Amino acid sequence: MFKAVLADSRIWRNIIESISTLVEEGVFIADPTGIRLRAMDPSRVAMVDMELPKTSFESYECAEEMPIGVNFDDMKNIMKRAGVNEKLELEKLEKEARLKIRFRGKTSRTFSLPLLDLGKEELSVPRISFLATVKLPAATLMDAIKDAEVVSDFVKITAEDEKLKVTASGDRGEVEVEITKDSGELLSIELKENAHALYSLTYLSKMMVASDLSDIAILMFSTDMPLRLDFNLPNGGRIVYYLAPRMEAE
Amino acid sequence: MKDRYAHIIPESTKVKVVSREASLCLLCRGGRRLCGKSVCPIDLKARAFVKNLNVVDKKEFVGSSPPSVFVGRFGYPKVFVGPMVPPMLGNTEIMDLPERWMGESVEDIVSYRYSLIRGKVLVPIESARTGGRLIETLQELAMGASAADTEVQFLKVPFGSIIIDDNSQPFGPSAPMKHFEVASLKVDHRIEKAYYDGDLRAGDAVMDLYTNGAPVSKIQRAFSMGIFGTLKNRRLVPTRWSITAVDSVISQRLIEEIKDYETVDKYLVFVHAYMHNNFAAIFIPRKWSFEWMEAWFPGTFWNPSSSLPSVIGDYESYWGRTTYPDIGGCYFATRLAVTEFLRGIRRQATVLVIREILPEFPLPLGVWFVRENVRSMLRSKPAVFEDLRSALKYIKKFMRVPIVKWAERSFILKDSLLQRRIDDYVRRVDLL
Repeated sequence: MFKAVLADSRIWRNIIESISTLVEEGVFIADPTGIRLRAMDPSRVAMVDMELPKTSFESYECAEEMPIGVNFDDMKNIMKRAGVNEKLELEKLEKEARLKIRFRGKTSRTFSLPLLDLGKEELSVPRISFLATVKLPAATLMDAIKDAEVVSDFVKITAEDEKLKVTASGDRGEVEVEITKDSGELLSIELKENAHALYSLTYLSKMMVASDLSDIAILMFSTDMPLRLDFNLPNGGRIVYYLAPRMEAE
Repeated sequence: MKDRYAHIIPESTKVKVVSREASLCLLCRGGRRLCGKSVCPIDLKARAFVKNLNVVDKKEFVGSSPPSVFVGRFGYPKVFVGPMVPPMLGNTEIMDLPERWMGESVEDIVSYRYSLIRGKVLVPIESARTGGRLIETLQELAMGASAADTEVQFLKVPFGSIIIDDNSQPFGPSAPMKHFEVASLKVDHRIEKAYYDGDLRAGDAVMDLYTNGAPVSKIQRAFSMGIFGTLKNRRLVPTRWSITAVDSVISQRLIEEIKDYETVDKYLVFVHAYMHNNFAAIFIPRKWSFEWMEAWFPGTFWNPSSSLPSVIGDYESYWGRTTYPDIGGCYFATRLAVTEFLRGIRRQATVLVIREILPEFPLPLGVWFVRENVRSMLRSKPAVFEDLRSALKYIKKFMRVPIVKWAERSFILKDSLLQRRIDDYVRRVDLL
């Protein structure tokens, strides 16, 4: 049996939105240490890696590992019903192929979500030593992405000379965004080497959905290698995205 | 959209088409009057085809409707609606059954269409629901299983030559109609059943009929007469729109179905040539996404002025699309042919379909031409490849436009060649 209580149901709502932005179906693994999920988008260009440890919950019971396969559209629709000041209870009995989702506020509302028996594709995350690690306000990154979207579908991200540069160009024009330490918008930057790579804006903007969970984004990347984008939740846990790069056309 | 092409609309009244991404004609296809002329100059060219056909000079006649109806789009939500009847009796079914037109010459197809005289009565689209004697007769006609003997009286002698539309099959002369009567009619019971079910949603009705083997053109005809849908939502749908609606609805449902299947395991390539058109399709072993591209050669219908083939296309990702494709209804006709093939083999894939329209191709004939050609192509045996480069190399031999030209424009090709995958950076361990 698995039973977990979150003090704020909207945390779970945001987590579900951060996953469903990329993934249609996926398997949460609940075990005595907490809940996690790792899944790839249908095109296998991006990956989401979520974990919410036991300590993030108000109460948490799970004796042994339990897979919880869900359709994220269905779960998202249930979580849209989350109200302000409502607690969330998640409950699954050993034999039931259903997850009980209960909102506790002025009333108690219980949804029962049929679970999916999805095959076990054990995914490992890309193992990369990142040359650049940049910490910045999620809103600043969001703005840079939105700027780039005005002119292109792809964005070049460059870290050099203690600066983060976000540039894009296309038929619709060109844009360059510079984020420096002086402006206070660059919280920290660690460079082993200068690095630059091209990424799909479609995916990046999908990933920014998770900025509802964290004010700070941590961006890691290397030249022509996948990007990693971390959002750490205030009460523990995190959403990590990986995004494969795009090669520049010759 | 408007802004994007604003620069190609000249300030002076002298119309000159300057193409950036594609020519104005390719975007307009006679439907939007983008060049500002009141009559599409390319339409005029089409009229040459009918100059040798006999003109109907009678205000009334009896004839067997294939069966066929037409709903106009100008003036929406008040539209011209009416039957299409040739001045002859007999089995005229083929005149409005594009599924059977593969193998027929352009001249034959044009003469079928030119023989069908179109009656016109102006009605509000809601009349599909509110009824009236004429609408009910036309709805019954649209449900017809075979040609029906009818009698038609016009207010004037039918007038007009041929209307070329990229979406719908060509249409011939028309006249305001005074009276219309159907002598005898055998209705298609599958369609009739949907008609009497006022709770059945239009999408479900369309899908039921399709699953039961009804030809797309019959479903579309009934759809245009507002025969389907929950009772309060029924309305007339312009013929041109109904064709796209039916292709779109059916293929959307098929997409939802095929997304549950495994991906194809190799690269499949199909090629097909018909009536100065070359087609090719690549099925890529990845989850569903779709792209449809056309290259209109200089001198073809919608590319009269440029000196290079104009390549245009539209695309959808796994998550689908929310806007109408610029390239038009042929996008959905192709998507239908592709998804029904994938359902047949119980697989999903990323699919690129390309078409070249050579200068000798005389006349756009409607999206059925694309649908039936792609269907026919997908009935042939595919060439199978291990990787994309070999697949493209093979296609190169069949197409005139160089692969790099397609790749420059193709979302799917660029994505396949340039976009890396997470798999490239992880070791995947499949347990069981």
